[in-house]
Amino acid sequence: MNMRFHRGVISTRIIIGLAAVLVVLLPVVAGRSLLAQEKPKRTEDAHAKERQLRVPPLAAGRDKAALAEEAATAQSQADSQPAMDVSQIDCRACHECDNPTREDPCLRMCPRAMAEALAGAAPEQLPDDVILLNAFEWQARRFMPVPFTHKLHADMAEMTGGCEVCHHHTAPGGLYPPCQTCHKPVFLKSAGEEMRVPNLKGAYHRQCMGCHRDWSHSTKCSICHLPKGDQTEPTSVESLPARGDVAGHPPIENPEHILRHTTEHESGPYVLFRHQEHIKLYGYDCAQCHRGQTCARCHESAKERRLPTARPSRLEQHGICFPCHEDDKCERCHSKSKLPAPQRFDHATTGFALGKYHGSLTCRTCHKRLYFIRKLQGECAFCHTGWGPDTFNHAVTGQILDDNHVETDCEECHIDRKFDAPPTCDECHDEDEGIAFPRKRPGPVMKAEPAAKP
Amino acid sequence: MSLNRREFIKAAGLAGIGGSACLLGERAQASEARSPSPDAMGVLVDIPKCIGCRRCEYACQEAAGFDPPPIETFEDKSVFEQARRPQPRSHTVINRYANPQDQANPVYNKFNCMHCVDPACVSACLVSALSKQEDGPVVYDVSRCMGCRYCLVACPFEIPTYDYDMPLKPQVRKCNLCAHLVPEVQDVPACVKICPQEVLTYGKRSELLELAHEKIVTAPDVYIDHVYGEHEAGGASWLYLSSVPFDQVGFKHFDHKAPPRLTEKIQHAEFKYFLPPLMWFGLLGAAMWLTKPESGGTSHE
Amino acid sequence: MSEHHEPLPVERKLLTPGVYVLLLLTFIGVCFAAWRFIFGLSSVTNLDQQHPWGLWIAFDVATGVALAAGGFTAGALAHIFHREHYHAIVRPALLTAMLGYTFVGIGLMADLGRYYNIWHPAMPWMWSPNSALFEVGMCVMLYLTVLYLEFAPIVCERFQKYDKRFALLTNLSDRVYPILNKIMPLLIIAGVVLSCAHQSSLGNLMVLVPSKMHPLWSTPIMTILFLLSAIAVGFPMVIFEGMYAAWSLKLKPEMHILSKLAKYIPVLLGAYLGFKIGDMAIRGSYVYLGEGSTQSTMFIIEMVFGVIVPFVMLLSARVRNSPGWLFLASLLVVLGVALNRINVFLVAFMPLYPVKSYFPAIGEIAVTIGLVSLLMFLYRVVVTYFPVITHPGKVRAA
Repeated sequence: MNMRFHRGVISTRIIIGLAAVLVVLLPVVAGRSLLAQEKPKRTEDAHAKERQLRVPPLAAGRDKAALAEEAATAQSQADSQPAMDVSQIDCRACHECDNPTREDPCLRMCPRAMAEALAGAAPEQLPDDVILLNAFEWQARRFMPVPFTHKLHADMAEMTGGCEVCHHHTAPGGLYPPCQTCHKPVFLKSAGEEMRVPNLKGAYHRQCMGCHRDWSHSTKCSICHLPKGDQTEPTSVESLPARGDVAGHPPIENPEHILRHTTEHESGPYVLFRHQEHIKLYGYDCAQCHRGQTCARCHESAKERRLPTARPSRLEQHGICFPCHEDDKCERCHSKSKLPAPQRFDHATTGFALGKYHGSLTCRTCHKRLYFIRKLQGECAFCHTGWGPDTFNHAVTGQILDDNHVETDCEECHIDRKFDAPPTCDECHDEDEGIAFPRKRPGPVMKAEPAAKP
Repeated sequence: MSLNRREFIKAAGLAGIGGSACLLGERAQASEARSPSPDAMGVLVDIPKCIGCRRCEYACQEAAGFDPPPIETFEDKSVFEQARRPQPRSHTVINRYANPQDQANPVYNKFNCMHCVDPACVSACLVSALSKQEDGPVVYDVSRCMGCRYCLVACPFEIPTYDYDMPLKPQVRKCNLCAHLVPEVQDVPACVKICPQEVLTYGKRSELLELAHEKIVTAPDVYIDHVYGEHEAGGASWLYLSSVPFDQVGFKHFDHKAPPRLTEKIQHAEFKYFLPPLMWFGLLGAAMWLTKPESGGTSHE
Repeated sequence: MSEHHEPLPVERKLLTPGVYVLLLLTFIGVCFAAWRFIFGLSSVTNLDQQHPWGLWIAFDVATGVALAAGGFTAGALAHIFHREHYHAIVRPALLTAMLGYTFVGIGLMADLGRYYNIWHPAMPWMWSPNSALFEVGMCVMLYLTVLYLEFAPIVCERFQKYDKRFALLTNLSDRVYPILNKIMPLLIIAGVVLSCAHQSSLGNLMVLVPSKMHPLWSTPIMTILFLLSAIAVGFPMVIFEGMYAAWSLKLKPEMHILSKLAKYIPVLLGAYLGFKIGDMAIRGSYVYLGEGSTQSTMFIIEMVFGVIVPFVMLLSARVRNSPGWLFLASLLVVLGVALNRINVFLVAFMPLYPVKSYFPAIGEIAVTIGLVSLLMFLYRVVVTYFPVITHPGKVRAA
């Protein structure tokens, strides 16, 4: 029910969002064409300066998980996304607090139209994603632009002291001036006051290296800068080549089991969660369950501040498990005592016992289509390709084919090669013959095998 | 005998002509008092900000006209295993030192010519191949150099290096604060320009000193209260700020007095306006004349 | 005073087995020197960025200059202070000085990276009067000229008196000889002044680097110490080379002159010793004597065997009158001063950022030995053909 409500919201948003995109695009496109007319007037010399001074283009925000569908519909417009000046957006337009985080974005409850009017753009395009840093001629000669993930860093800022760690000399919240207001992107012979304010390159690096050095103990340039080589300058985040050694998070140790205690569920206060099994066997990524979690959730400095906050709601807790366990009864997870533990999942209960071969596979080997494990829709053929009467020993299914059927094409019985569906005899045998599966079989059945599908 | 005396007076006159003597005296005089020129440029090094990326080493080699290996090779941190010194083809080097305050983040220090206010190498050079420019740099003129390497001996910071492997045209090699690059091309030294952390600040020495002391006052928990290069060996154009004592980042302690002050004083005492030698000449001549025995002439007669 | 022995060419066979050894050593040195000029300093020497000066500067140049001090001290004694008694030693001392300084120049050429620019210090637009080395360079150049001019009459004498095969040279000699004799007093005084000047300036070289010098040697009065030691080593050097030459040429050493000359040595050496001890006391550097390091050991050897022992020895008339003892005492002074120069330029020089320690390479040693051998050979050649050494027994008409 909750899900359905959510989807409804999204579809409404798509419509409003698209309308907003169009509204915003018009003036921006108009402005761009004006700029384009101005450009040829500049001399060759000024061109270099212009490159240096160019405002870093902003790729509009597109959170992949939440807005995947919307992105797909808006694909045609993706290339002409407006370059927005982050500095023009007052953080307080949407956030109530000074240090919004992913866990607690403290969004204002205000009509969308007002938010758009305040921000000058649709919320989806607000500065929550990647900013390309490319303000220097020297850098542009050697390196690709540096994609800077604002949202991710905003989350991490929580660990070190909030937005003002980077947006310094400014009161928290409100309208932040762009770095270039004080930090010049050109290298001038310095004197007086200029000596005291680092230029943009110095300012960026000092901000970045302070944390990157502390957390990753690496000062390798390639963590942020990709060497340019012969490639042309990319225009958007998507066209950037992948960075080989982006500072990834060091591996987090998987807990073996988590025993959770709940007082609310009187009939079964104890929940045993097989963490390892969910990771190793079912093949879930951490983020598939731990969605929307931030660095600060684990990292010490922020942990202290987080402790007093409320536990996740009941709905939130169950929401993670529901996609797979929606048909299960409470007792599946909840028990009255710590022992015995809930049963390990037995694949035979689905009607397909895993034999000696399939037993060694992980769930994801076959169930690869969705995050949440569902019944296979003919995916056997992903692995089992090229089977025909000559190459497949049908006996392994338990069903031995008699001489009449041994050379019959697979498709004669398994329509459309759907081997998980019951075979049909109609293709050759008339209904009146009274020949139908499984009443009448095409040969002897091996006793030991349980009813198995091919 | 009378001849001798006449000769003697003549000689004294000849020596007195000494346009050379005047020239010597004048030059010696001009170099006596050395205080930093108000226009002298310098560089302030904020050691705690350095991350040891060695970009400056690359930029330096490029600016000096050597063909440096690809910039990626400078990310090799293994060179920090041992302290390095400037080499003929790398006029600046970064060395790594343990940080007693933060084990995980070592400190890095940059070594290159300090461009002293009163450079020992300039005082040492006997053919004026090294000279101190009004605007700061200590520069080298290879066309004058004899290759005696007294400058290497003299430098208190052990900076100049020498092409020992070159049989014909060896040179003294050291940082010249990019003085060889036309100001239009390069308005700041290459290392200053490339430094991503802006560890290096280029400016007038007087202003840099002000800035350095300002930094110490505003962040006394970061910086120790000492600007290295302000007074060391008479002062230098390169100034350093550090979070750890300077002797822990490869710097030595020096007197505040520039070494040339003593030697030049002695040298000038010996040769002031060429008078002392003339005086000796006269004294010895007098002795020769006075002790001359009445009978016989000199052995040569 | 009324009598002089006449200096005469020594008529001895030139190519003795000893001379062959000298020539062989010279040849080896020349080979290494050639290698250095073809492949650069690093191919032959152990010099590095922290040790820019090695054996060639410490011995060939600094020690060479010091040991050539016999020329000006003997000249001053005989001609300026008119101790005519010592005329017999002036010419050999002059020859030693001339050859010594020539070899300082040659040794320097090997050490200089751009040896073809060796004339640069003489060019007024490159003058650098603040530099002690400039002063050394200029004085050495001038003094070398003075020495050649001082020696020129001896060459003239050969062509005037002993070798009249070349009429042209004899003619030239006849014309030049009186002029040279006229300016001779000037040359002699100039020689003394120039010598004093650069001997002391040589000491000033290392005053510029107090931070790299061991405190036992690092003193602002190094100029005075260098001058005093140079003056002190002058007569011992004259005695040493006079006796060595006499032994080598199978002549009788002129003990009646040398013994008298030796009387001056304790005075001069005593002055040096006094300054040295006074300097040590005032600076308090004696605390480093017990350090046990190479430096302190070398300093003690230099002072005890190079200064104190010969000083005490030469106070005794018995030592001064015995050829063997006199030779030994003089040799000790010579070695002591030589060791002092080597100590100052090599042992006391301690770089602040050493990569490795310095010890002369075989090539450096070979070149140095080669130079000394060549010097000795040339000495022999010159005394064989030119009237340098005064033979006892032959009386010159007053």
